[in-house]
Amino acid sequence: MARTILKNCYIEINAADFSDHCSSVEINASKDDIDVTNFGGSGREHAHGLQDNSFVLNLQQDFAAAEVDATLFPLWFNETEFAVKIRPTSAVVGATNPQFNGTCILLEYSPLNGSVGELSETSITCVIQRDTFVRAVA
Amino acid sequence: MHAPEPSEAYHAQRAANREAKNAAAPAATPIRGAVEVRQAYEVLGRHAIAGVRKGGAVMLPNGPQTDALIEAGHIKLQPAEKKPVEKSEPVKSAPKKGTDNG
Repeated sequence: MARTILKNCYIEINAADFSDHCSSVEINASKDDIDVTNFGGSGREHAHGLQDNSFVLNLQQDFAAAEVDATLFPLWFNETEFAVKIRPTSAVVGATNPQFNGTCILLEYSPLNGSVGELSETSITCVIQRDTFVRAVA
Repeated sequence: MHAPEPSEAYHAQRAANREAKNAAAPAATPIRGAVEVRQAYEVLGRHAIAGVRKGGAVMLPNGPQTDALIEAGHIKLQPAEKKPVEKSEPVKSAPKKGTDNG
């Protein structure tokens, strides 16, 4: 099996393709750990609880029109739910190039972050709402 | 003359229909009259919107997501195509015959 070297991940935020401004991506899928241990056994028993998923993206900041800040700030300020779509490559969605998408909100946004001489980057956590987290292969 | 009493099967069918209606998820029954309005927008920014590059036209539904894209400068509403108004020839009424003055 071929290993995956990330070279051209596809990142779409509110229908806008931001692949060329994104330097790292992380998809977090998790479910609450519910303790359902009872007197019937000698060890703990766990059960899946509610989903709590998120996308963590590192974006290279850009204050031009229709760029990073102009896109993210209204989403945070107006509390708008938006779609995020992520694929390992920019190729079409398929069995070997699954697309992870979800309807998200932005609870925190740091427009300016960095030290002198550094590239200004902003890390955002797109919190996925309800049960909208989907892995699509077609 | 009284109508005959409905059969037990009739009552059972009605009960089943009522249960199915009550059990249906609200989302499964769309609100009557609610229609998603989609409009054509021109892509302005460097980033492709829903796969459409700069200068292209993309159809998007009305809503806060589209408003956010407009606010960010990604898209703008395409003006509706104005169809030229065809001038119609004035219709001349036929001359009245006789002295029909009402």
